[in-house]
Amino acid sequence: MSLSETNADAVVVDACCLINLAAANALNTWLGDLGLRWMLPEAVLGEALFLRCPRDDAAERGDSPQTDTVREPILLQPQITHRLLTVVRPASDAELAVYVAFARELDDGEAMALAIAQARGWLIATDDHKAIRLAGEAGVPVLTTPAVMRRWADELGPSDAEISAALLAIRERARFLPGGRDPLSEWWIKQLRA
Amino acid sequence: MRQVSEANTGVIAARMLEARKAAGLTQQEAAEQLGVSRPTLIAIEKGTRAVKPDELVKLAALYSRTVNELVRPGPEPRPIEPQLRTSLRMGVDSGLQDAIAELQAFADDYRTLEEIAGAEAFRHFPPEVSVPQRVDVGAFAEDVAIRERSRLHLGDQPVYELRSLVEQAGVHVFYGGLPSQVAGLYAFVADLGYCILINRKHPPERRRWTLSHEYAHFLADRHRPGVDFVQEPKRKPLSERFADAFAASFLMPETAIRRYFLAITERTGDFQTADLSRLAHHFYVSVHAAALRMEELGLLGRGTWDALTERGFKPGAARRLLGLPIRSSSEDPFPERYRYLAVQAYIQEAISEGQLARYLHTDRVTAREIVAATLTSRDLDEQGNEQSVQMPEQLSLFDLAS
Repeated sequence: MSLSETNADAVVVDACCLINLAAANALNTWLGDLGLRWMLPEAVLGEALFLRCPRDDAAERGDSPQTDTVREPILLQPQITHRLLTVVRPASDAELAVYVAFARELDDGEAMALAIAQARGWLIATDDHKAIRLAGEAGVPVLTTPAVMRRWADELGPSDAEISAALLAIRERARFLPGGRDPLSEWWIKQLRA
Repeated sequence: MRQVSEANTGVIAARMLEARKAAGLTQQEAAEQLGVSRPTLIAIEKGTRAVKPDELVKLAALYSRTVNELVRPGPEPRPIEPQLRTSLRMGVDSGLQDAIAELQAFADDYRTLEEIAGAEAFRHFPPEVSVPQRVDVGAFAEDVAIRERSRLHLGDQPVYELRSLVEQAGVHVFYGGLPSQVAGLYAFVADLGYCILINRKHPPERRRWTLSHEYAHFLADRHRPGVDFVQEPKRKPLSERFADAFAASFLMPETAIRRYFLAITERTGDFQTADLSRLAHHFYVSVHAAALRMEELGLLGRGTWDALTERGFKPGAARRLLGLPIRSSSEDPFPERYRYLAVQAYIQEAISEGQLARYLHTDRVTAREIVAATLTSRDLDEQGNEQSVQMPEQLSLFDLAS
């Protein structure tokens, strides 16, 4: 099923996409305004999630980093408390079975995200190529980081400078750039240079 | 990319058994936590009763494993612990068990990555040596070290890329969190090969000594696993005396040490603590090891090191005073080849990003950096400016120029 064919308004977000959105500061600002409900698999919550933080920022906080960047933990509790993110877990034997089946091919967070999205007819937000391939085989529509960023740009009208800053933050803090095969790759590079 | 064998009930059962043991749980304890009888758990671990999805998820949490680690395609674990059982000592068993479990996990991951890549196991090992009982073990080790240096075309220069050298000889070198009193351990893993685990908490110079020592075991006793402690008993067995002597000779060749010593003494008529510190830095060994080597070669009097320490000599302070830079050293917990296999598997979509981060024992953003670094080379453009060149991962070079 393609993205345009689905009426789902709930998105199960995988760690790789979550990290990118956190880098863009979307969790604290505009993600809740896109008209989608964001679901966080329990297994993703259990992963150690970090961003890169420039040394200058760390120095201001009194840290003493040895390299140009330091690891900054992604704290999700505020978003969970304010219900931007809803923690979900397999709720039936059938969902557990699908989860374990996907866990043969994917890490636990990715497998749980895909299993819940498939079982409940939701979208999955991921940028991982293997997860995207398996989602396609399972009929689960996929929302990638570029697709979320494009939706933000189209629906909420941020300025070019804001878009460029967000994409730069994703590159610098999450070390992510869409691959050449991504249909929004050209848009991303153009916005990044704006 | 080869089709990896699907993990069948027997493989999953073997992994659960290994994971329970690594977690230090008895069958009774695990069964109680799972809410089943002990015979049921035994049946699950034997593979005679398939584990249910909810049981699998509970057991993964109980054993601090991911579900993916238990059910992913790949080979059955090859337990290392029984080989090392005789080496386990009172007082460090718990920490050592954890370290063995860590090496076991590394080995299982490595074998899975090799299977994914269709990589052949290394087979062209250097020849084995047999340590004779009735000869001077120091002289014999010196001779083996010279032959090994000659085989590797090293001359008598310092060896800075020691880890890479040992890995090229077909030995898999891992850095792990061993108890402080354990320097390293050596084991053979079926279908993978010879593995060395070095204590990552020790200083680089000490790690290099341990690695040379373990490499000596590989040369002389490659089929005998063992654990090496920082403080060995006063009367060491022959194999340990050989390994120590080999490490000293391999890291500090006699000819080079004598040449260095003569260059100093002919110029100054003396050999001072600063010279000793510089010599140790040049050969990338500890000052302690350098002093003992010079005592052994008769260049310094016996007991020089003891006298130095009694006078409060601090090698670290001396190094700082002399402005000797800290050398960069490989800190990766796994061999370079392991990293390439993991990145290759990720690029070819055989594993996901989450799996990649787990194979590399790191967080996802660092895993992304490792992928980028592995695929990027630094070069100069026509104006002489440095630039990054992204390597296409699967491009045949044979037909490019035609």
